[in-house]
Amino acid sequence: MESKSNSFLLQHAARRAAQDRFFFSNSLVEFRNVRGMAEDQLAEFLGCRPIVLLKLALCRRPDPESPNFRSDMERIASVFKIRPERLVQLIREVDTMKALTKISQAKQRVPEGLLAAARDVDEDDSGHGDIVNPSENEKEPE
Amino acid sequence: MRDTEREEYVRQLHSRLLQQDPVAPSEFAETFLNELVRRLRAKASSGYDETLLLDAASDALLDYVKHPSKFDPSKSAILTYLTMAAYGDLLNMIAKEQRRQRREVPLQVVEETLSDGNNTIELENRVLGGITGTERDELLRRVAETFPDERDRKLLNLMMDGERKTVEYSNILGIQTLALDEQRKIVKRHKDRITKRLQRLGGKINGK
Repeated sequence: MESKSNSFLLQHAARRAAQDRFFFSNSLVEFRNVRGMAEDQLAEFLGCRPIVLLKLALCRRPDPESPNFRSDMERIASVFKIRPERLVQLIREVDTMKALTKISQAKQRVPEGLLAAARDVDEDDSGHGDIVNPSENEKEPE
Repeated sequence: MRDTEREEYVRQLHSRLLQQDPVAPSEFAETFLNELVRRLRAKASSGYDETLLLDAASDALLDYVKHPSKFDPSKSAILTYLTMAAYGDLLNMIAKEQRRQRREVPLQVVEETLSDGNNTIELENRVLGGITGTERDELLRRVAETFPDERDRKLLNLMMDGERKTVEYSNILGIQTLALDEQRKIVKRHKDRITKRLQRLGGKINGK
């Protein structure tokens, strides 16, 4: 039987692993954030006990682009007795959210870049450039 | 497990990691993390921040399961290799922490505010009420810097509120499903860690 202190150590390692997309932990955390789920709710979603989440967290995250994706997912599901369709759903949902976030960030970067360029011109020209920061005009005299 | 069985098991696990078995990293951590932490504690002796020690052990193990080809089984035993790697990580973390501390301005705000010699940080009116807005912002910024993890800040808030119930801390740590005794131990460990960080920041919490 697994000792409780080992659970604590695994929990610590799982938290560190959450920072790295190589590990399943990263997707579990992302999924919980997206869905606003507590740990036990995630366990319920996957049809497993919360302790299994720790073990799952430290697995290598199968790559959806890899030809082994299906067999990798099936292996994980069978070892931890997790519903495979839920595991796939989790990965897909996290990846979709990531892709959407990237698109949204890319869209935001364009006007930010323009604003930065405007500020640069303003600073370089010591306030005499063609592009003037509108807030400058609103300053109260000191 | 006998030594020969264990060696064989390590060889198999190593080979499964090389073959990118998705379950092998988890199995490896479950089998060896405890032993790695024990060895690292022995090597590092006492006086090391427990969290840094666990971070170092975890990082070394995670790095190995991610890049198993870095390890050559013909040269050393896996736990020897991991203990050395973790010890190196630990020393780097400590050096980084020391560099960070050297860069910091002494916490004069707190020292000056407390004239009773307790050198106590309490983010209560006693401290925050007697300082200027700028000083208060600086103090809160320093606290946020010392506790970058949101979970730690939540634990700190509970400690500041004088909360004594283990369950409140367990909820934040996500360990409420463990036995109460185990929860108490884990909560105590975290409180001690936070208290140590506070002490390094320049004071003590609630006179502890």
